Amino acid sequence: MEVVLKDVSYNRCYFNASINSNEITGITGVNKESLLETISLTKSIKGNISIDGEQITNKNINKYSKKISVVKKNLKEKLFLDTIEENMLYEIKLRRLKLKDYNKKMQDSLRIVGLNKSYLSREIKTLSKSEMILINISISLLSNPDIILLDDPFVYLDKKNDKKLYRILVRLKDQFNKLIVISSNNSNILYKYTDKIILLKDNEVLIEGNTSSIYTDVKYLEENKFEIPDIVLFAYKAKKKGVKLNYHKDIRDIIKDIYKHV
Amino acid sequence: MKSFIRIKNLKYKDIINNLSLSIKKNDFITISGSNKCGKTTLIKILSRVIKTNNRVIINDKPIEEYDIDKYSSIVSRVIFDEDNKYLFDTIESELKYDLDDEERYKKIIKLFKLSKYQKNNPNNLDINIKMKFLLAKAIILKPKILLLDDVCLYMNNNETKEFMKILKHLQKNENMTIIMATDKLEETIYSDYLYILSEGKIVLKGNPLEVLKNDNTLNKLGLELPFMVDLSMKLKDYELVNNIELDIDRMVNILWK
Repeated sequence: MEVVLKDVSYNRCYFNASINSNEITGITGVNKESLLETISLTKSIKGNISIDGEQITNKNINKYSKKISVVKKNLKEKLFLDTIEENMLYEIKLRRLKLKDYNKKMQDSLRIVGLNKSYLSREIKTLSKSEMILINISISLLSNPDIILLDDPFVYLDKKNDKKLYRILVRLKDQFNKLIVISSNNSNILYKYTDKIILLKDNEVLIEGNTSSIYTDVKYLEENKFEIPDIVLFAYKAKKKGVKLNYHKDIRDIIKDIYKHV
Repeated sequence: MKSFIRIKNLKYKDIINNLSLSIKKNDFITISGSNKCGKTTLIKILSRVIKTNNRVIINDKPIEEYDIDKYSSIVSRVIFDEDNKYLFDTIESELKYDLDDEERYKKIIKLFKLSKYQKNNPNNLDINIKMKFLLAKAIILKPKILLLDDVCLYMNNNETKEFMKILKHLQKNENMTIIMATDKLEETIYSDYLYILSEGKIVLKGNPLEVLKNDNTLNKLGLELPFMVDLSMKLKDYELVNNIELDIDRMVNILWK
């Protein structure tokens, strides 16, 4: 699946970009929320958005917007009733989802994010932030979306849980063919966990492309005032000293590389 | 020196388990730990959002014995709360509410670099600016104790550094005692003292850089070491460096002279 934005303007921003379901896409920079909102098809925009070649118009927009779920920053927005089950049932009602078997759908949605059905009766006030983000993702799955947009999903997570979330996102992409977009301010997270990156600057897309190649172009990032992943900056500075280090994503790999060169 | 805040054998449900610690006046301490370690609960207890019985003592008096108005003039809390709605439609009028001191206002605006945003609506701010505004609002009436929970959540490294500089300034120049909860270990290196919690108990404590040397324990707890600390510790295993080096340039120079 592919979403293409051509000369789209929204909220004083101007976007040209393409997003594909075979790679996890990251968005960073000022106005990343505006780009997410644009893709969510919930705001009125100017310009062309097409999904798999079909242009979005007033006629077909409802068909497509049903297929998009957004996991918002505010984790409590979709968790205002007492238990997880109540909130899920509310979402099913709100989005007028036609489901054969409510219970099965709720349990499946939990299972995909690695939680069992005992969570249905859990009270919201007993959940940690990392559980809340997983519950938000499973609520977003109830409508069986093709596209899932996540606004800064990694901020609440510690290391154990951010790897877990990453594995869930990969599973959603590979096994369930979902198109996954995440926004973040954290270059370390984006470098590690995304395949494609879109940098936003001065209200438009500065560059889009392969995460590894963009995030290892240190001069370019510096010129445009984007943060450089720590592991990249270290390798870059060593290279400047004439050491032939390679760029790595995992610290263990760079350690091996350092050991070879000292 | 005498302790200013004393917590003894604090218990709360199954979240806080027999926790004791004491904090000196004018200390800047961080409390860290993985999700659900009890740090947010501890901040809530200190700010009296959650009630306990006589386990937290400030200036020799259990916090429950303070008159609530008096208490909130001593202790101020900053958390990120998206739902919060503000009465006034500019940062300026929001900050000047309850404040009868133009000089103080100007000083704070300058310190926080908020002059460009004085007329902005506090309900509609970029998150980074909003956190600065929330901090400004929390300290403008000069509390003695500042509590912070996950305030740098949405900031990038540079924004975090700038925010920490402001906190350091408040500690030094306004004599505030600062208690900050965070699960990002890179934020803890700015404080004087670091406590690591797990299951509501203190498992590590001390000078942040010394605490961060316990890489195995921290990893087991699911905490991510700051990159340079992680790199230093791993290179130490190979006997390539002797100590933690936070500066990249210096590290490169140590490895390749």
